[in-house]
Amino acid sequence: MKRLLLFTSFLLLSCMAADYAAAAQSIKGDDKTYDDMFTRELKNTTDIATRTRLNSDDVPAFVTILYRDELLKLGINDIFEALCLVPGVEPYMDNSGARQLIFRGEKEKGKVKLLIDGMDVNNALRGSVYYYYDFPIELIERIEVIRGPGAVLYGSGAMSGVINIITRTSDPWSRSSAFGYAASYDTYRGGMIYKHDFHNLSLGIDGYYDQTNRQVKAGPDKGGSYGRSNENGNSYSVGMVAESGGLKFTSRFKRSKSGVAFGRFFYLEPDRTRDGLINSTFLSELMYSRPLSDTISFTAKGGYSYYKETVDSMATPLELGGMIFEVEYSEDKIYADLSIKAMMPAHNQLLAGFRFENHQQHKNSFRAYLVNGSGENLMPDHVIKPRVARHIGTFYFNDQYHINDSIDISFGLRYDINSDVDNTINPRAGIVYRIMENLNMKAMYSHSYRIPSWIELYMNVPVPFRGKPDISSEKSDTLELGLIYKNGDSHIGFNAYWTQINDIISYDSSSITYSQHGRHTFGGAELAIKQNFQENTSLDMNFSYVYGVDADNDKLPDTASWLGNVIFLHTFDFGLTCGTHLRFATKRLRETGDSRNDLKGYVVLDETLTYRIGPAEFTAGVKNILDDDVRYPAPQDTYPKDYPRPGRTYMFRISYDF
Amino acid sequence: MQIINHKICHKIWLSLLFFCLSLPVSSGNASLLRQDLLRIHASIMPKTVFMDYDFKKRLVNGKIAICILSKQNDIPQARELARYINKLYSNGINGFKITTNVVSYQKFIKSSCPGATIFYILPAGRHIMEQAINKIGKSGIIFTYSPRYLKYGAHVSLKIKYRVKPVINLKALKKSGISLRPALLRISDLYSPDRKL
Repeated sequence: MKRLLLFTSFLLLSCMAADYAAAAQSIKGDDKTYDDMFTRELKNTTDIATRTRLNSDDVPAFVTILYRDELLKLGINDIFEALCLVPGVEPYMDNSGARQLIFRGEKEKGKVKLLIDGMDVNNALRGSVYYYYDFPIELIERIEVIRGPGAVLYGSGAMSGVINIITRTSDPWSRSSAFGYAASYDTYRGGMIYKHDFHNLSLGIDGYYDQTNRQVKAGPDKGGSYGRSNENGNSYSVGMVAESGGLKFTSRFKRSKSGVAFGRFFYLEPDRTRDGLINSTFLSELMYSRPLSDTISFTAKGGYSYYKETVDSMATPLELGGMIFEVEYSEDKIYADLSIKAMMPAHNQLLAGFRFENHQQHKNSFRAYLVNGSGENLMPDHVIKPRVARHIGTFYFNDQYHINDSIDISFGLRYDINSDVDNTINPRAGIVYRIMENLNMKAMYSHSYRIPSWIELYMNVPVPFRGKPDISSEKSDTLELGLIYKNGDSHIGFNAYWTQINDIISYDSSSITYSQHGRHTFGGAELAIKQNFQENTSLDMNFSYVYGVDADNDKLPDTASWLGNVIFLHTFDFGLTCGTHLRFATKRLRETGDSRNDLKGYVVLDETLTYRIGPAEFTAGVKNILDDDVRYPAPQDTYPKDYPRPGRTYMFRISYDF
Repeated sequence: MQIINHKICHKIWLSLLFFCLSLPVSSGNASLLRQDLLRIHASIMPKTVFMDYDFKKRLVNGKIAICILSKQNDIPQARELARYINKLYSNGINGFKITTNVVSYQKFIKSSCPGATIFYILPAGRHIMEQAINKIGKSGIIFTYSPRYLKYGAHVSLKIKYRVKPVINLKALKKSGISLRPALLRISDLYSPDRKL
């Protein structure tokens, strides 16, 4: 309550200060000429282009934008599938069924920041976001992905990439719509978006419910048994955005429940009647922004988020005692952020702000017992050390200086004061050089970091490893260089990068604790080519190569060196769009000491047909037409044949715009 | 090459075969238009009218009438553009009411778009776009979806770079007898047939 009062006072004071400043600078006179009106509107369109990343070729970052229309026409189902289209991004999955991503050769593990309508999803317990990857594409307007670090603006965890999801509900232009989806493995989904403009209030509400009975043939497991993975589950979400004047309120609740796919201890789940893994999140944010003058604008935002994780699963088969795991954990976060954006003289675009965050752990219970052990608790009764809290104070600024029409330079800095780990300073510098009318060059340097998760710091249970309270943040340095060529209907982007992540937090099997040592070094390149043929056909291709080694110069396991996507979209005159998507990954190496052959690569081809009649759209698709054997790597001595993924599957979608 | 083995190559070839099967077999096609670009155009295009010195003479009943021309298959997207404009300028601009009218090229060539002050032209075949532009003649400003179509005789489009910049076809404007305010000319790029956009 005290936290809430302090936070509310901070917001109110900020808003009053902004109002006062705005009043002091009120526009003198009312002689708006047509010229002013036009140039102001042009500036406004530049803001829209920047906000929607339409001019991303001219900003110092490598950005990929995924648009809803194209994603639907490719039969993409959720955020996870969409992100696999991004250059340098590879999917994988762990034994619990949590789908995760490898960005530029580095496994996610809290190093990717996920925002939905600007609200941060990453939790403090693990820094993870996997429970949002099943969010359906139908509710999304676009996905913006910064490939590479973005710590100056996004803080801890924005190390390998930043994903910003913009929902249709928050997009002021989108329509109300309803949709239904059905796919193989008894997968069904339905949902709707309702938007309405009242007098001065714009309101959007969305919701969906999804369920699946996915079970993929798997095995042998750790005990040598064959069977099926347990990926049954359901998820739902409701979201709301209300906007009036400069005030915007956004909130979303999401809950997902799924079986522990390949078993907590790598045994195919013997008891599938249990709840499995349940993740619930509630995110909310109140934002107030207003221009103080023609060149200065002010934004104050504050938010509250809640994360809850429940586990109820049988981790070992009955012949090994049938160990039951029961976990109930929750945490919340409250934050306030105050920033000023100013167009300074000499074309300086300055952003500066302060931010306060307070994370607090609440529920924290752990039970492990044998089915026949009469409830005897086998391990400590807390997941992590009790009553953990984290406070973070931040100052950040970023200056983009438009020297002339050929050169922009930018410099940013973020300073974080963390209550339970080391403080960090994260600088960033970049240059965009327009060599010719159609050719841009970008060069960037970024320092970024990841605060250790509470599991890594304070885990109380030796399954699989205990936390280590004296570890510090992982830090990374990244250099990027790229060229972008645009000519009429052609767009070619090429970039190379070098990244070194220091103070890697990993398992130490000898002491069964997390430890911190060594580094990962990556070098790689990404090529993205887009060619439009008239306005009705597009060919989109991207290829990436990464070479990653550890401190001993051993190649990093489990990741593919080469990845590629080829996307072809063609719209016929009778309203039918044909979408073809080919994705490939080359072999994945094994860990040192793992005697298995390298995990072979895969080629997946998806075909989708979309037919639009007026406001209704029908999509039917076949995924993995070639029925290729796609597997994600499993650790050694667990599943010798790794984690299999579904073969050929079918999908059907219908949507209607009101 | 060891990295990509034969099996993967074989599958890639097989997939390419599927690609070939899905290649276009029809000549007239609907367009894959960028909604975000249409939104930007919806915001700036109606105000372009004020850059014409004589815009008041072109208004009928004091209304800024926007005629959106599209292929029959792109009518839904043209209607989306009209919806964006109506949403943005539901109260008009500076006391001038805004009206939008979506018309297919075929219909326009037969019966035109009376009273229009701005014509927004979506992509179509070269011949049909040129025919429509000729028909518009001196009736109003012709705004296009892409600067590429300025070569057919359209007047204004937008280039999305570090800043959004208008691109102007001075020759076509002169031919249509439209004189633009110097403010617009100052901040715009001028179209030249030798320069690729």
